[in-house]
Amino acid sequence: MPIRTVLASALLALSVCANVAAEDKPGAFSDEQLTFFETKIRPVLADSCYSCHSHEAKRLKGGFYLDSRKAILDAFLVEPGEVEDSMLIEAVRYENPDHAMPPKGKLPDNQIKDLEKWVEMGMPWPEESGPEGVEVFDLEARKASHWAWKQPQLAKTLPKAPGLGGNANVIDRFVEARLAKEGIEPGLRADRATLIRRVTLDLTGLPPSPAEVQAFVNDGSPDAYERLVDRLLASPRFGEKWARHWLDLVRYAESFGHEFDINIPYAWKYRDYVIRAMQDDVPYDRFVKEHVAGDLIEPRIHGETKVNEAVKATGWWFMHEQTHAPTDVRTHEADRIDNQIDALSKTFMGVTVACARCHDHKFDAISDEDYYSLAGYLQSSRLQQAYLDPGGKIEVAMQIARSVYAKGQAAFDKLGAPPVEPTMIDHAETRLFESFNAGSFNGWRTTGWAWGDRPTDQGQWDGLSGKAAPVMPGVAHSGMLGDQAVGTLRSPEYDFQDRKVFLRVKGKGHVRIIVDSYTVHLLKALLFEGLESKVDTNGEWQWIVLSPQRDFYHGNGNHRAHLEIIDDDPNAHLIIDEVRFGDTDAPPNPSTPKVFDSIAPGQDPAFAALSKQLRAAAAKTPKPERALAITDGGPEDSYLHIRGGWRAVGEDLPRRYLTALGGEETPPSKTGSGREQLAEAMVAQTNPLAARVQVNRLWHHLFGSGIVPTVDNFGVLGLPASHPELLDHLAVTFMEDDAWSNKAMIKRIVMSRAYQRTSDRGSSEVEMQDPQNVLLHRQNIRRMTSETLRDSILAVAGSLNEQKYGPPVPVHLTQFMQGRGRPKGGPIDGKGRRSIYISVRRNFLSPMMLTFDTPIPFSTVGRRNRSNVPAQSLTLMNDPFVHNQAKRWAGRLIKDGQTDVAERIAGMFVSAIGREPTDEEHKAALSFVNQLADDHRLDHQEMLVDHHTWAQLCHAMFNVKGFTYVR
Amino acid sequence: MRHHCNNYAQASVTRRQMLTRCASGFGGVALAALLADKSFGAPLSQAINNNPLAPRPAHHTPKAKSVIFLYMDGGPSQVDTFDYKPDLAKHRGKSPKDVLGRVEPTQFDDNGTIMPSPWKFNQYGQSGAWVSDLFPHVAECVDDIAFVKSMTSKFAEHTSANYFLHTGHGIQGRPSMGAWLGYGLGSENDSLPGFAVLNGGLIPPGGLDNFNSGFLPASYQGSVLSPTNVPLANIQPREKDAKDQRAKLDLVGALDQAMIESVGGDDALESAVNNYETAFRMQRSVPELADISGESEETKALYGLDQKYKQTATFARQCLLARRMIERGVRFVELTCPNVGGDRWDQHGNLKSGHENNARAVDQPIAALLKDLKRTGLLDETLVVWGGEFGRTPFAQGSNGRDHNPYAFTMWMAGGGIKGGVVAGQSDEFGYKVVDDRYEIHDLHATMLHLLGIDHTRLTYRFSGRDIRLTDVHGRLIKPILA
Repeated sequence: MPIRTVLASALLALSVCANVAAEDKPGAFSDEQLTFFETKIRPVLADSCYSCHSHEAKRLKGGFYLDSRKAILDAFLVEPGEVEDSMLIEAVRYENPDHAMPPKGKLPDNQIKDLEKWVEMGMPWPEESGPEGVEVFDLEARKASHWAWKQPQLAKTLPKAPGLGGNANVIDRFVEARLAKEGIEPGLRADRATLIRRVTLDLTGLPPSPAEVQAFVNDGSPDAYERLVDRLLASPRFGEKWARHWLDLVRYAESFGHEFDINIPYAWKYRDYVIRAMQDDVPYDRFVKEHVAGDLIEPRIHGETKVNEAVKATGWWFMHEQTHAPTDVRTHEADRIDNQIDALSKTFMGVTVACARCHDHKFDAISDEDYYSLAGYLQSSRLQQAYLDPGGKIEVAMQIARSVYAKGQAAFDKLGAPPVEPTMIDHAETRLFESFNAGSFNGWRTTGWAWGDRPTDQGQWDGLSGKAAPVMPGVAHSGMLGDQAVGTLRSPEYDFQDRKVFLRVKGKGHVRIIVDSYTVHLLKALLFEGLESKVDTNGEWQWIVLSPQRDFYHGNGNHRAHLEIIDDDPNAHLIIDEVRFGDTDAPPNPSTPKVFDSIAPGQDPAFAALSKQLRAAAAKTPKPERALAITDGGPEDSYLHIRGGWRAVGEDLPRRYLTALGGEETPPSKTGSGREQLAEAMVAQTNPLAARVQVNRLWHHLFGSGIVPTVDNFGVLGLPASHPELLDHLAVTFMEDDAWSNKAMIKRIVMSRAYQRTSDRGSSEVEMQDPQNVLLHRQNIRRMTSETLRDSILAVAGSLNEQKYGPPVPVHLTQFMQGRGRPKGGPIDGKGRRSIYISVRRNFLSPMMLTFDTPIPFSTVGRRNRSNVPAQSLTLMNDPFVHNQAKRWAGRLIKDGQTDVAERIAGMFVSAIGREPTDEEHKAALSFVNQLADDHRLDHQEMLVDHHTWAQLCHAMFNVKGFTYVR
Repeated sequence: MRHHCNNYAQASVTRRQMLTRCASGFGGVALAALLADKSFGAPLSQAINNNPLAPRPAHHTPKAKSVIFLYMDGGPSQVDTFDYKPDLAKHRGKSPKDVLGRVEPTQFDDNGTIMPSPWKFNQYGQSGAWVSDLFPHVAECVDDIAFVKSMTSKFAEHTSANYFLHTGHGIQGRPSMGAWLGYGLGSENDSLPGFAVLNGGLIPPGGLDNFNSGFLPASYQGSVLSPTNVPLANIQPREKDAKDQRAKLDLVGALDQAMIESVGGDDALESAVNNYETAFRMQRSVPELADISGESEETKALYGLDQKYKQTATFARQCLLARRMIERGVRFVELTCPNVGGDRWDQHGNLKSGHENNARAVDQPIAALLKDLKRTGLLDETLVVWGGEFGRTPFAQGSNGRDHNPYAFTMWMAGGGIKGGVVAGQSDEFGYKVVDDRYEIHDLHATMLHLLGIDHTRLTYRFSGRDIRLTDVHGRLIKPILA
């Protein structure tokens, strides 16, 4: 059992016993005690508490009652007999500002004293029938009554629709059968120009080039559209478009927000991971598993990056906010975990588990136990900057080094080295945490390569000594195979109580304490100094003292911590002998035990040769790639936080998946977090949510609305599916026929007649019958997303820079973007890169992206707002980015040298809106150009090469709805 | 079976036209829309689909039409401004633990000794309200002001406390109060933003997200204006010749009209087209708003526009612009503080000079705003709110600063629906914790909404499965200050 919960459970056990005793003996209280209750306690409860916490309350506050003894005990508000451990007492004493009660003002001292006395007596209360009306949370009943928890099924018989044969797209059979039933005839197929623009924008986020439009319009072959779709699915622009949809779900950001907007190191590696995964069509079930446990499951080495991409997937866990100076780090941890659970459950399951942080879910089959069972996975995990091995070259170099070392060790063994005493530190004022003398890491975990698989032991050869010398036993050593290897050594978690940590070290590196998984101070220490130290001992043994400057960690218990010993320097190593805890000065340096310089000087030349080989092998170790990722800590279950506060300790909850989805059957890991089991459960074929939620998301992006419109919430408060059988059928098809391939499902959808229909409105009658187009009698007209809009402007202007991947381009800062943590701004045009590559700093989000509804990265947003505001017009009318691009486009037109004005205008229409202008449109554009020429007194030849004139028309084209909307 | 018209392109019936033509069909469409879109919490959501900024009826008769929020970024000290604590002098230099008993964790954990206010306090007005020498001008207005001396916050750290004060939640991504008001009441002016932030120079910790619309539609987000000649991003046409822009918008309008006809009408498209005309008007109305040349010299001097201390002149301009905005129907105006060089109202050290400079910047302009609103009759329909995200400790941080104190601080309100010259709530004799009538930020929000005619429990928006409120599940009215 994790230490953090031992005390809690002991308390709980006590209180349970006490309850049982009282419940078992009705009438156990004396008359005097009951009189005390009736005269001193009940009136106070009635006057000061019952307006909010009784069955008479108009609105129950906080979800608990104070009008029966049982209710008070059930809500863990009082530990009978334990004044100091009773939340009720804490609340009336105003000790905790989060729940100081009553809120209107503190009770008089004598009343507080009476309440204390009452608790001490064991809560005397007369026998009485309890108040009625408590609604029982029945998870199974809720599960049974809501569709989303049921397994999706293939339709037993596919519906029949007029005019559709057996080979017709299944989607159309469902959609058109339903339309026929309602007596609505669906619209016709969109014309070819509309179709290629729609499908190109939907699949790649960029408009088709005029040549592509022309080719498709003129291609009469029956498979022209399918070939177009296949080309777009394979386009290198596909991944960038669909990755951005995904980033909305995982609240992708590159800074932590709050006061200083501190950088999240390597966040963009995750963005690149998603683009590649979408491009490569990594099966969705694998994609989910990589997100949850990519550091634990079988690696997936990418052909281009040559590293294990799965690890990078886990970076999303840490895209939460963080502050630089929380006054309560434990609450801060609970808030971070809350955000992680919120994003996890909405993104992958389409349910709102975070609603169950403080109470059982108000509507869905999710209990607060479910919430804290998931929280345990995160309490058992840590943030890491992962070490990735490009092309496996580090591993190859290390293997050679290991085999050279093994040869040396074998030779050394033959010499029969005399034992060397490990250092013995005898210091009563401090206590030992780790001596590294046990021959194993004893619960310490390593990442990277530097620390090997165990501390040094007796009779181990000092491979770099060039001699027959033994290494000092009982130390963790990051340079046994040379300095090049890098890595981190993490301690098991411990209860954080002591003021100081003493580490006896030699060499160069970093040592630090992580308390309650809080890491922001590592990036900007500010108030959290003393938790980390750079180490450089100049080859001497030294005690390094870590001593947090602040008092928050001490005294109020329940903080968990671990140590990290880091060697990221390819030219140095670090040795650590012992770790001790205490409140005093550092222990004295022990006398260094005698380590033999050489046990057989005659053999030294042979060992010198081996050392040389070892160095040569190690020197070939390349630098690792780094990425933001998660890694396992020791297994640790969470306890129930009663009413969401970590100080109110409930029972221990083993890590498991949601009860409603068979979570009880997943046994929690005993050795690590167990995230790999969680991942398996999340995408099991028997899980009804995974496939439905994802298929619905794909649908949403292709129609503008999901079959279930509330894409992140399939719970009771979500909207029902418009075509439930279709969604089920597609979900099963996705898992089985399509083997979780996003591209296969996208192709199914865009190949349907439903997708290809015109978006023009039908007759009044049809529009009356289906005004919101729920039944899909036509396609929906949609405004471009912010990214598609900006990227399309770049593409049409000829400024699009097709460079993929890499560190973000800094966002352009305007004079209105001020505040702490203001980063260095970037160019107005973002170097012409696609919007997905522009930096996402929480406090300095791109105004253009925000104006056109890119979500603020705080939680999962699967369905963006679709606002329609004058600020959007102002942006397109007056923003320098738009003007500059109009000028560039104009420059290109003039350079292209098309001297036929009509042709030039027609070309502009095809570029911007994907079709030639009608006669009227052409006339309007031409007269605009002529008017400008007249105004500026230009003759025809001058007009043809006048940048100003053409930039005006280009700018107008960026503003027309035919450009900003997808028909 | 009913049929689509054969040619979609010619079905030029917009929904609006359709509704007018088939009067009897109205109920059907409205009902269908109601059934089809339950994604919003309140029926209000129906209205905002069509025109998010159209004025909407309140829940009850409002006392005020607009809010001016004087945001004192950083947390002014209650015991140095409006919450007079003579007892502090008796305990000068003593350890806080000895005097106060339990001392809560402070952000810097560098607690010094009990520190009385370095400023003198006097009583003012009929009401005899205590005001320190930091606010000599505001002191002249105390009979119009209701002080709440028992405000509390849940957060002792700026960012979370700022988000909490602005959005009712201590995290990023929630809608700001001004956005909620826009959502609840719509706008009275179709060419100015309904929620405006006049930025004096300091953007509070947490950034622009303090003024955002969160999960509400972007229509409600705060527009950040600077008190300069170019007050708003992208408000200035870039065309050298104004005729060019008009001609361009006319061309765009003609092409858009053709598209609307060709698709058979579409509400979103029509709104987008209308937005261009609004935006075009804003290009005039926003600079016109910022142009104060028409104000009398007396008025300018009253606000302090002529002050040599630059920050006073800046805040004076902000206050004057705030009045001009509410005259024009802007619903919610927030003013952020000018940068006085040292720090916002966040004097962890050098309390004396830091608070003096901050007060000097805002005192005269605030008093002028109250007086000007009063003499023009606007004060009756405007709610003015003053305060920061928390207060400061009655004991020193280090030797001459004060740390954050969320356990008791002072805010004040004046104007529509507010009873002047009263005090609600009470802090202990050290101004450290609340002893009577404890109010939370949720209560502040509930009261503000109430004065604007909104029942805070009924203003909801459905987001990810919950009907969410500005006041979460909390909030009660601060009744002693209501007229």
